[in-house]
Amino acid sequence: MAKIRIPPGIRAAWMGARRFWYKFSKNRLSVIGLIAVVIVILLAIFARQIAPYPAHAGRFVDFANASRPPSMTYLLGTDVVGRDILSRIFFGFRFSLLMGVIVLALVVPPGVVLGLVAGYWKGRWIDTLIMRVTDVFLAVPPLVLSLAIASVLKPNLFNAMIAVSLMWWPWYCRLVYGITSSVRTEFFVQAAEVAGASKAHILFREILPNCVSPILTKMSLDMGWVILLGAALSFVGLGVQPPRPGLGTMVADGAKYMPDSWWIAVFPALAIMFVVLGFNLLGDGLRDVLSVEEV
Amino acid sequence: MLELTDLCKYFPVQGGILRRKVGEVRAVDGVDLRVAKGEILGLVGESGSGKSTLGYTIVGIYDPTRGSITFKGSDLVARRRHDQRAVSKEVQIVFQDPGSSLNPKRTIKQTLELPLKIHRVGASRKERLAILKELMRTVELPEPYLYRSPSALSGGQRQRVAVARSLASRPDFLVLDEPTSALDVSVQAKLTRLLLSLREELDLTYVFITHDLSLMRNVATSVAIMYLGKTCEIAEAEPFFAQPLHPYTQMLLSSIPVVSEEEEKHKPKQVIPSGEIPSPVNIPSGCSFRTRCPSVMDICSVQDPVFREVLPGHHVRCHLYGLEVGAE
Amino acid sequence: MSAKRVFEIRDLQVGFRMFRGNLEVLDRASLFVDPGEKVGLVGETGCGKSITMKATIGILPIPPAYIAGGGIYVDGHNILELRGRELRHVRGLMSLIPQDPGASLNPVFRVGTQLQDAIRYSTAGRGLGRRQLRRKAISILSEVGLPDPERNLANYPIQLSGGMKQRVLIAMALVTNPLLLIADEPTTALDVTIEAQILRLMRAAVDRRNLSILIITHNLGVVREFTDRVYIMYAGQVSEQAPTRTLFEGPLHPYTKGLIESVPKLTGEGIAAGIPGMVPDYMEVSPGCRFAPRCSHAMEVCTEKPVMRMQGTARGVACYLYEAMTEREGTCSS
Repeated sequence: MAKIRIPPGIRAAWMGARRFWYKFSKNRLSVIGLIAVVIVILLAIFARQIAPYPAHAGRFVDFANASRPPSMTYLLGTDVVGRDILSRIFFGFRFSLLMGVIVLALVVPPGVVLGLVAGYWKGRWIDTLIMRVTDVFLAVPPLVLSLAIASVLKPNLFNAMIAVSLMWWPWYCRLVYGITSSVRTEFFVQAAEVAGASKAHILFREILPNCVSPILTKMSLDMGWVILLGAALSFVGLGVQPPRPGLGTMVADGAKYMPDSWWIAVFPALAIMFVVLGFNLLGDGLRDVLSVEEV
Repeated sequence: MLELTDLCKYFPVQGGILRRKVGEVRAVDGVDLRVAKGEILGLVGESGSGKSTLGYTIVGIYDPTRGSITFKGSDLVARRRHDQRAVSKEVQIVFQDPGSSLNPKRTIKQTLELPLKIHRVGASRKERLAILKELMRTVELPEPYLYRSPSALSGGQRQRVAVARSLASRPDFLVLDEPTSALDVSVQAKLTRLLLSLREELDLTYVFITHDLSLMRNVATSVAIMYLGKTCEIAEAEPFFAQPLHPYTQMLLSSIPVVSEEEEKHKPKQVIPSGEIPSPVNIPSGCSFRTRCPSVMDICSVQDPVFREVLPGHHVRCHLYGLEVGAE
Repeated sequence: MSAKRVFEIRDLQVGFRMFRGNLEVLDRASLFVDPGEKVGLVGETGCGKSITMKATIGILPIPPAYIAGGGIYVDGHNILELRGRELRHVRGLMSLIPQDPGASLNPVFRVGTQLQDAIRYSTAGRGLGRRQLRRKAISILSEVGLPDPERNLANYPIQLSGGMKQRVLIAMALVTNPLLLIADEPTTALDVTIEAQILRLMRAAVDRRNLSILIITHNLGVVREFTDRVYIMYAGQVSEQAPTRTLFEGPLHPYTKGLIESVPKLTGEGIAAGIPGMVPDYMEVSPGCRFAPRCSHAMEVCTEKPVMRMQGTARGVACYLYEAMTEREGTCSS
């Protein structure tokens, strides 16, 4: 059998991935978190195929089967207009994940870039400018700011994302700022400077790779928080609008009927808990594995 | 090749709420130095001596507060301000700590390629790869190591990569900041040999910063001793070790723990070091060494001795040698 | 039967469980310290001397480390078999002078607080009042030569120089009245003039109090100036042991010879060739003599682990070149 030449770079990456898994899998909770997250992602993607009553996610009424407790036909029961809760939860995961992904996509790049710039030129005016702006945004309690913004704009998921993004970016800026200001004095950065490397190279090719692990960890933990925040906004009516099956919206709908038709609010709430806990455990596990490998 | 004239580097100390300058650290305080082409100048000192700061100032990490650096006849600081890249092609540095002088998130290949790319050495990727392979051969590292990351290499190997990186742009002048101090003794020997043979092969000039006088005994062509930012004694290696003049030099030499009886005989008579090295923020008045000097005299607290040539080619800063009238 | 040894390690085997497999680091290492002796344990990075020290004072991270065999005897008691109060008591007979003075003192507490804590929690300091603690602290600081002890008690570590911090650490080690001091690279981080002072201080303290000390270092010069006896370690095996003078005047093991040769000499003999090859990866370590791959005198038989051949109680070498030496295996304790 001929020996296949694997490019050394890919081989090294594969070994790194195996080593990562070895360390990661040692912590049972992290693996549980990973499994939970994978389940949620799969359910969200294949909601239409997996959900028993996919049509219930949209405009659908069936008063004959309204407010039915959990049974064999409706595993988690139905809500006041007869929609299957289980199916709606699957679709609800879509909105949750979408919220998390889009907010992080909006927040991470500018936060990271600003953090790099402020940290590298620490002590100069650009540092002061960026960090004081960051401080202003951080001073406002997150929920209050999101509520304020979301209520000014038209209430829908998109605007909820904007609101959350505006108060989330400073955290990434701070994180990267801290790492950058300590890394920039390391010898390898000095070496690059002495060699005459451009500032762009130093920031993005020398310093940034050293920030990736904490950023990834934070992103994973943040997914949970952003989803929670999104659910909170939906709960007060500023996020996902009915009849869309946002998890927070569903909890809001069902809250009125507690404790008689408890399943209408409780199951969506448990779903929120499931996804948030999953991301938190995953993030903790990532942090434990990644933080040991630092310089 | 390199000449330093009254070179000074002061760092401001900030204090108080308004962070105003309350004092300064005189890391390098009036150094005059000359390095000829092909020489190895051993720059020796303990902590606080300013030897590393001096090296960094030469290489451009710091700008001098005062004084001038002349390199190949022209003002290095001015040239650097005008075109930093051209200067960095000729003057390079090897850092002390193999752990942090290589970016842990970049492969060896990426780290070595950087100076090549910056200085446009090698027109195509293929050419650059060939040059990289040549570099690895020069520092006696196997080619496949190019694709590893620094964490997979030992300290000695990492230092070789650091040396390769400094040589990538084909410089004439290298500042070596304690390149072997963090390494084991057997690895030190090999790396030092490599550095010596490279100097021969590539016609380099070194400023070798270290605290290890035994090493300099076998490596340096001339030696400069620094204490709290000033030079105490400068001479060519032979006369230096044959007749160390400055009390601090004698103290250094007699403190070295040696490994053989013959070496004991080469040490000056036992000078038991006393006291702590003063902090560079609070340098004693007059001669900064007076707080620890076994031969201290009254004049030492009043006046800083002048750095003068006491024997041909042998400069000392000490009142013990300054009292002859009309000596020079 | 000779007086009880203060410290002895017998056939210690320590390994690490890693992703790639098991690293068998310490391969039946043995050494001892008699009362009042100054013993050096010398080796380069990765030779296992740190692991030996960590196993002794109990900070070995188990898992992934594991102790596969052997014993560590302090004042006759095997600390690997003790638990709880007994273990703490026996451990209290040892004191550690750690490696990096900058990192070993807690930066947010004053020097006096940390020193007095050390006194208070030792057997010597039980039940002392605040004033007595303070007096004891000041007296020990003067003993280690710290200038102006009263004022320095109130200082934070950051206000002290490296040498002064090391003196404080030595004071903290002495104040518990140990039988054995373990000094882990005590002068590696210090300047050479300060190193000379600290070594004199340690020698004086050890002689005055009739302590035993095990000094772990890679600096051969320090070992030659300071110790009575030396052990040389390579890749987890003890390769040679001798009284200090004997070792430096006539090293036997090829590794020892290579090491001493590699040190740059003040006599100006140039730079040695060093030892060819590299320290082995413990995953790929050779069976038998671990130095064999780098040894110019390697023979067929070197794939079998060489036994430590002793000449008397203090001189031994684990090398097949010296089969002719008196055949007495290992380092028996009786």
